[in-house]
Amino acid sequence: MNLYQEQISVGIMILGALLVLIAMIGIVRFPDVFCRAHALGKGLTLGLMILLFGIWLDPKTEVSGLKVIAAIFFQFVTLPVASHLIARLSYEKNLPRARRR
Amino acid sequence: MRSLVLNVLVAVIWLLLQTQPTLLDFFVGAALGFLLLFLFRPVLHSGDYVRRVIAANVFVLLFAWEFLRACVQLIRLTLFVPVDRLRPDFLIYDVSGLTRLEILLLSHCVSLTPGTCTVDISHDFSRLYLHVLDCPDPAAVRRDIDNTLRRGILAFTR
Repeated sequence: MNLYQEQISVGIMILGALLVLIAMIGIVRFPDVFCRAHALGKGLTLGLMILLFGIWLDPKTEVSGLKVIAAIFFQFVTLPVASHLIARLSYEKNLPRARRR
Repeated sequence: MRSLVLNVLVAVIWLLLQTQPTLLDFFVGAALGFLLLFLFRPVLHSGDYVRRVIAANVFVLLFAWEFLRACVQLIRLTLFVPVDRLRPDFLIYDVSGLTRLEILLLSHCVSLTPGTCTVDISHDFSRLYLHVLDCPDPAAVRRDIDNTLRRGILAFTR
């Protein structure tokens, strides 16, 4: 168990970083603000959660379990709210949006 | 409410019995307390609490599955689908029968499930404005939210 713990944690952290990268590619690629809020809200939430989980498993980092769980919880609660606020603000300001073709 | 206090009390007592209390022991104690409440529900009148806790746990599992599905869909739309093929659209979802807390939970969960994102709510708290990333059929999206999120949330709030 202890032998592979570091490799497993690094693997999980790389997975999380890849998800964050995909979310960022989405933010660049999608046509309007609302679609970008989607990429922010979902991709970044899961990406950061997986990344923090990887840090939790890492034997060399000295963090207690509750701290990481709290960090994951607050990511989970606040990031979707951020994406909702971006969408709401651009809705109120009538920013241009991609129409259905 | 009384059942919740009992459950936490059993967890704390279990924690005090350990020589080296850890976070895991608290959850083990909470699970044992829940088991007691489940076994003695005719005596303690905790049937409603037991039902709600089970429904909430089922909902958490269901929501985790939906969340994973949302991320897979996002990855697919980001990397493998041309941008012109997306059909983003707004959608109005009716929430007139729900309390404020239920609307809050629903809108938060909607932001994290496949293809939808909460944009705004009408002033009388009866309609949610959603934005859908790829929306060929609005009725299917509404049905999906009805069947998974709304039913799951109502199962443990009522």
